Amino acid sequence: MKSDIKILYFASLGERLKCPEESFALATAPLNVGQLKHALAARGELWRHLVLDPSTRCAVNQALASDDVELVASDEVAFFPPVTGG
Amino acid sequence: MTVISVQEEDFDIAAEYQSLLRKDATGAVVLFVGRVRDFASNDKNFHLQHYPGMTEKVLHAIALEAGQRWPLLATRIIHRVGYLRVDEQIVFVGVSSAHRKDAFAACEFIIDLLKTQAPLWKKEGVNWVQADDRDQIAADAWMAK
Repeated sequence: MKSDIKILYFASLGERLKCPEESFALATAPLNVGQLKHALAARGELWRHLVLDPSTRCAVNQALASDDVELVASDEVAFFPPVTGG
Repeated sequence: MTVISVQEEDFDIAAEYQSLLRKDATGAVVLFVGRVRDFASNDKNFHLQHYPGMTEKVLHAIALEAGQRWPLLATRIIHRVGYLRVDEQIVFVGVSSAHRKDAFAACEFIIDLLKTQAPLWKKEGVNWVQADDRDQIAADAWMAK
């Protein structure tokens, strides 16, 4: 769908939400990252807890993004916990 | 010159060392290798997940910044992903320069930033590894310089 964004969930987030990836309809454009988080948080306690956790990182099109970043169709959004590589 | 690889395969330290040498110019080479330590779990499966695409971008950006801070001849970063076992190599950071102080500093800078910025996650058995505050402190110290 042209008005959809892709959302990826990595590591413990993807596992606990049982959702590594989804397509999300941008029904109420314009939407920013903060508004997307609240839309996802409305899905239930687990979503609210994980998506709104201050340690959860968000990237838009593979660059870290703050809540005020505006989303447009075909954007790739990712949520993930603090990184532990190296 | 910077070369970045995110791969499942192991790497050959001797070959990587050779790739960092620049004829008549290389006075110092510093190599860092990170390995899988044993962890307290009956389930010895060790997995590294990453964000394909973003991992490479972040590693390139870190190497670029290292090259702006210190006069480097060559930089090589390899990070393995997928299923690994205890005692396997995970990560390689190699830098070459004319002088050792630049090479030491740049190598430490790269691994310190990699640990807090590159989107990779370790899983030991069924447990996702928690981020260590000391890693963030080390990265913040570089960014304050």
